[in-house]
Amino acid sequence: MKQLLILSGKGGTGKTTVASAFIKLAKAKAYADCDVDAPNLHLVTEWNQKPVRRDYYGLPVAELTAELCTSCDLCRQHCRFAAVSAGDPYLVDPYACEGCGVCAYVCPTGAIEMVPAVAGDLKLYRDEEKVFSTAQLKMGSGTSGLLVTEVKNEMKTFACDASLAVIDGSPGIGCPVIASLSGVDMVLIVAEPSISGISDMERIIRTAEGFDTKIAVCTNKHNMNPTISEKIEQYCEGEGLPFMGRIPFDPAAVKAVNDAQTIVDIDCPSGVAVTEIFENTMALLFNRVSSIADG
Amino acid sequence: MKVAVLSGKGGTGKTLISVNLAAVAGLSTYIDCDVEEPNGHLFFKPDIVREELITVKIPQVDNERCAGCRTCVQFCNYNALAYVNNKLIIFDDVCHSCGGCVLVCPESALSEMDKVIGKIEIGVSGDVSVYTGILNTGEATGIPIINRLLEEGSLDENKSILIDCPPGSACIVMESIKDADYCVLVAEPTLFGAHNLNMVYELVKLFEKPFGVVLNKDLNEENPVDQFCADKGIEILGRIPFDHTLASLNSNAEIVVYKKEEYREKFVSLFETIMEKMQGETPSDEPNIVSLMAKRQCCEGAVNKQRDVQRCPEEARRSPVPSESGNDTASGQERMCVDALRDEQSDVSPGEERGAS
Repeated sequence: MKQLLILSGKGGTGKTTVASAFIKLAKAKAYADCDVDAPNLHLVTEWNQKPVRRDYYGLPVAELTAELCTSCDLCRQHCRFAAVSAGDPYLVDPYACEGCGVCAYVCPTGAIEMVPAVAGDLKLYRDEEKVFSTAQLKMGSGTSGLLVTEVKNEMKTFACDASLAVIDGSPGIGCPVIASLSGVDMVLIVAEPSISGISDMERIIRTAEGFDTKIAVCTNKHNMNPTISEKIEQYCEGEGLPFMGRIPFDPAAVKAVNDAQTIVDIDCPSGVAVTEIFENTMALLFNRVSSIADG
Repeated sequence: MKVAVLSGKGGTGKTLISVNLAAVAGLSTYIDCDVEEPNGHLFFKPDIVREELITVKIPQVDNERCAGCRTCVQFCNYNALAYVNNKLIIFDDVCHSCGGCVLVCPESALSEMDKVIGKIEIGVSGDVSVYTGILNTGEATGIPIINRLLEEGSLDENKSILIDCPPGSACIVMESIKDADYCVLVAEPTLFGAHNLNMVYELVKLFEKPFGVVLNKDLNEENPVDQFCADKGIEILGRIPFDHTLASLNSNAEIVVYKKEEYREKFVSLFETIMEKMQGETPSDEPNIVSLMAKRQCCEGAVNKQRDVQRCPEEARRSPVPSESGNDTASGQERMCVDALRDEQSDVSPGEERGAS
């Protein structure tokens, strides 16, 4: 199974719009939403049945039993996350706690125990043909990278004979993005033609280059700023990164999303453009590179 | 006073709103907490007056002293340590700097050293002090950078402080808003926008922060965000209409209030609205830990039942092999499954393990 990950660095450039179109065009049998902070792919994919849900346990959280606490202050002194506050009784802030277990280790009276904590919700949609894995991180939780890996594992477990998996990624370059990059065959970066967009694209490319994966770029809303759009293509050429195509700004795309549709469900310019990008991407992913027209 | 600008979804206009609010706020401070993809400095183009490298503590091992007992490996909840081929390996990019390994080592073979994960830049652009945090690529978390930024940027309390948050609602956003007096939730009028607005709405409610919504890219027609706000009784503080000129200026990293009077008036009025709202609010206290705990526990009734459940394997904590050990892997960039290595305890090569995934 070839895994294609859609990333962008900057948020809101159109990852989910592109991913949902690809899923439709490929009739993908396996796909996942790794943007566990703000998952949206389920809003534009058609599933009649409800998903199978299960709790995701992140790192354990310190729990302090007030009756055993002697206020020796050792836990507070050793906590690097400022999660323990002195007082009567001592308190652990579960949101600040990163689950290291140092407080429980140093506590002389055994007043602190590390207990498992639900940090999110895994959801698996599945029928005879296809599987869709998604999740929602609990607010303020810090282990999004772990949850991303769980999401991908769930998808892989049930994607028996799928030749392609489409994975919608999250913005940024940090822990969830790094977790989503692990093991994928190709990354398609959706860039937006703005000064911010170029800066963010360069940072996500540098991050992805740390992994053994193909990297390609496409632009969305390219006509919003043709000058910068051109710069993005020049940058790709300079870096030797394959450029997959341009999607124009298209009011119909907003309408499609608000009707819970993908841009290839309706007849619109962005749908035509994304179809071409899809074909170029598949050619590169499955090593049929010769079929891509140069430039 | 501190105003945090946030949105669940990326690309809704947090930077547009926070940069332009700071630009109309008189003497003000703009803090860019989106350390993974900082963009505010591209707009302000500040003259940098100070730079500070941000470091975290990571362990280093004295191989002469290490007895191979694996106490540290077992203690580390982040799988940042593995004992392979009679050698302790430290994966510093997943280390949370808790200091636990150093504490538990019976041979005192571990000590801590500083590792640079990024920097903060402090600069000036007209009346605005610009604080930018930049996380190095490949690093997992920018929270230490955010904490330092907020510490530095909050020193002058007489200024209006605008905090540009990262997208999402995870720990990194929580860090950014925890000291804010008011939260501005930026949303775009799409189904995605409404869905993600709901998440940050839940977050600010949980932290008992006063807040209001700004609708960006407003098309002046029915949309899921207006519907959501109407249903929840959330006030819309202002609307930024969808506008090609504005989008074009913004894409060129121009501060729109400096370019067109019409936009200046819009943001001045939004800023005044926010000030009025804040004055109407009693300053919020630090979030009450007891009430937070109560909330957390009520969501997690199942916790007690699960006490004996084994810890979730941290398979995500796959780390790049440090490049100096490049002989183990082709490029030094291969990912290896630390968990698998821990189980096998010895001769499995990272390449083989990776094939299993």
